[in-house]
Amino acid sequence: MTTILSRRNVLGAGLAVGASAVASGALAGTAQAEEAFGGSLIGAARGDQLHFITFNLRYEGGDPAPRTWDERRPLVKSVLRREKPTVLFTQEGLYGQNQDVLEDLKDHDWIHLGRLGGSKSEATAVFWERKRLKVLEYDHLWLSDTPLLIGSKSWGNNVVRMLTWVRFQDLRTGGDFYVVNNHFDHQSEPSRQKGAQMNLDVIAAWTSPVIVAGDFNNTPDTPIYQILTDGGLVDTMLAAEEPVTPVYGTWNGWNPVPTEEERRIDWILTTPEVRILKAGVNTYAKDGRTPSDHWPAQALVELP
Amino acid sequence: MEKVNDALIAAPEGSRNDGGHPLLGPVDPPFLHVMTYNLKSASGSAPHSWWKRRPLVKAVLENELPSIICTQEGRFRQLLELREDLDGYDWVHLGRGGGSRSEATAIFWDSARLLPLEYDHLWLSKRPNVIGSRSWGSGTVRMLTWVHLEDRATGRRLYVVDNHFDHRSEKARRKGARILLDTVDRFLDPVVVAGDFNCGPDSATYRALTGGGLEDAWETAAERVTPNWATFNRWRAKPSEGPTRMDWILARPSDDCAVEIHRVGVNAYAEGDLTPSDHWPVQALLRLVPRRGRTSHRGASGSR
Repeated sequence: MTTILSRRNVLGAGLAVGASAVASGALAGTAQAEEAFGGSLIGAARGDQLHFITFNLRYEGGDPAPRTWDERRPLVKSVLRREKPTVLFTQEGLYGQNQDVLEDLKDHDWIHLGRLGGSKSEATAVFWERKRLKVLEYDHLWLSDTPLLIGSKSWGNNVVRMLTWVRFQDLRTGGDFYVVNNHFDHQSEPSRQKGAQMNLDVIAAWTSPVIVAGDFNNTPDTPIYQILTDGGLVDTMLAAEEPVTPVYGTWNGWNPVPTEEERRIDWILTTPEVRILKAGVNTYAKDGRTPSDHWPAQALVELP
Repeated sequence: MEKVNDALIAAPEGSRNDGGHPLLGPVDPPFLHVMTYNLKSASGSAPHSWWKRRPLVKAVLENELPSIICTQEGRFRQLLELREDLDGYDWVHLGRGGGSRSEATAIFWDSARLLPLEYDHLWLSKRPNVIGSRSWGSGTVRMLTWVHLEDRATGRRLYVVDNHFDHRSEKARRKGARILLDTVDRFLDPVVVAGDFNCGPDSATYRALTGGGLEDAWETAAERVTPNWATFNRWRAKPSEGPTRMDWILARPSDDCAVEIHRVGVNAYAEGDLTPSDHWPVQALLRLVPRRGRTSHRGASGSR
């Protein structure tokens, strides 16, 4: 059967978005990352711990070989199979791409809605381990003055942006918590700032612990980081009791050599009562190839 | 060989209160078994509370194992429970109030048999892309959900549209029919439309839909396996023929593919005085039959 291929034909190419791929001249220094850790960076959560990964997958269809999704999918799968996240946040994934991720994860369920409605365009999809978590509620909001108008934008962003939140019950502890998955605009600073404020407004009503994650398309020295941290959110990468990697930039522009000079634009933030055990940036690459043009960020936490 | 489940041949006409004999039961390719089922919102009180009805709904679904189930009125947690009760199904969900809120026109499909290609949700209002919108004197917020599926066994594709029309406003139903027809007019593959239309076959809504090229499976089926039961049962365990056959399965062929309706029936399964819902599910056994020699703009065998 050629179901995979045929699906691709139907879905067509995604909308071009995000910073354009930087031509990587640094392929010389390659292939260290895979050997840097034989197993996982954090791996399956133990006991009451919860393991979160945020991963901008890079949309399918925008890149020639060797960066097509078919070529990158096995690398993404390797990361996810090794790390076994309790909750995975993806950005930029198209419907078929996210379905591939679901298939590769095996033990997860998911919530999806494309930013242009239904299966159309990219999504801030959330995946979770079925045996560990049960969904209690969820919603999708557009980052605009009309958050319930599907496909809306109004804050100076040319690309439609949204967030997806989910409230989970932990089947192990009985406790509940919220997660928010964001993809902020890559061009408009006003859009990003209003998006940050919307996150604070959305979570203000919640009394349970909250994890806010995503691709924020800006670095920690900017107003949006200030807005979110002033709002009480804690950056897991900096607050972790045990950082498992240096504070690498999460944007890699296809460069397989991670650096701390690159832009760290993918964050996992939590409300202050959450204990942050470990955090890191996963720089798995293979044969000089990165799974995406972002590295995934990871955090291992324990809820009160 | 193309084999229709033998068990249904043994089912006496109008059989009921008999868990042993499915109305249509599981089918082998190339047949598809479609069910539309208004589950009645879980808000109902005794003796019709959801926890009492859930085992009956489970019995119906396990007995029938439809390839595709179009549900109406299901609340998020109710549908999650249905999902727990039913192995091997994938689904698409969005509450009419947005996210997990309120009732949904959720569609379930046998994930081993069918692959989702696209989907969307539309609100039956003047602004179909505004979540939670309502117009035309509609008694409540109404929506439709569609999914484009590929049969993994045959490679053939079809669209399935799940509707829940308003119970109060005739105008809202007529306008809803218009949105439905406009939606399916863009589809190039065969279409199966199902749902709770909240009116009978003598209505203007029915005439609009059948006049728009959608054929009532009840009329076109080669065989009816039950009498013309009223599908709105008002919690009465004894089915009766009447004017309130308001849950329909309709079909429209594409240029290059016919939809053969082999069997149709209303499933009046009950246990004692308790019905699984206040509607009986409607079921159809169908087959997509390529029209040889016909060529469409897509080519006779789809868009490979």
